Amino acid sequence: MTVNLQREIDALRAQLAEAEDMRRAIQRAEIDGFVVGDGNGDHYVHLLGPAYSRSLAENRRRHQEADERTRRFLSILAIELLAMLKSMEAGLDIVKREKQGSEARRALDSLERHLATMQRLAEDLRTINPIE
Amino acid sequence: MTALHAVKSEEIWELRLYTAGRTPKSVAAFENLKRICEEHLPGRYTVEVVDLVSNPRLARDDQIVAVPTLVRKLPEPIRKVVGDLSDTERALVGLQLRPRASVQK
Repeated sequence: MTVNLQREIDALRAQLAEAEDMRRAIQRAEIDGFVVGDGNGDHYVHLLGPAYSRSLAENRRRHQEADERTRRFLSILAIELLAMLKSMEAGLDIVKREKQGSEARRALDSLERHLATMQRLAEDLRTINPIE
Repeated sequence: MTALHAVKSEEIWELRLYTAGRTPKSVAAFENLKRICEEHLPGRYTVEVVDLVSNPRLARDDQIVAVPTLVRKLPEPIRKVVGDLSDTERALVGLQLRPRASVQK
């Protein structure tokens, strides 16, 4: 990739990031006006009224509540999954002790690996969605 | 991910804050900007405040569409951060004082 093309890509990425930041600022009611063009090359500032600002703030509060509910759900889901996986792990240990055939052993080893992976995923899910 | 700007000790940061007079968000943006600069760029920044209610034409210079908006004129490249800067992490990312990946939505 040429240096110029990389520069253009970086500039476009920066513009996209700024646009995303602006969307977020508007959604979070962090602004109190827009600059509007009058069509003749002049501009004026259109100030948002208190009611509009309150409405944006209310939207923000609802989003935060929805995020919190999602986080709690994921956290509880992770805890439930971990409990079930723990029980499966204990059952697998018992079966492994009793099944000595090589084919059964291979299948049980495979199950054990999958179980360990699922436990790690559930642990990660719980870690990134902590609840007090 | 955008590049992180390495702050050089001798480098002066030239910032411009576009406001809408003394509206609550504009006042908050100025206070937050002062706090951020004192913490992260002490003695190495200048801030020009542009009131777009008094001089709306000045919005054209930096293509401003919402107020308050902070523009980093120097060091280049130009960067904009829209809002009252109450979210310090987001402001630091916008100014490239923090890597973008560290900010949650």
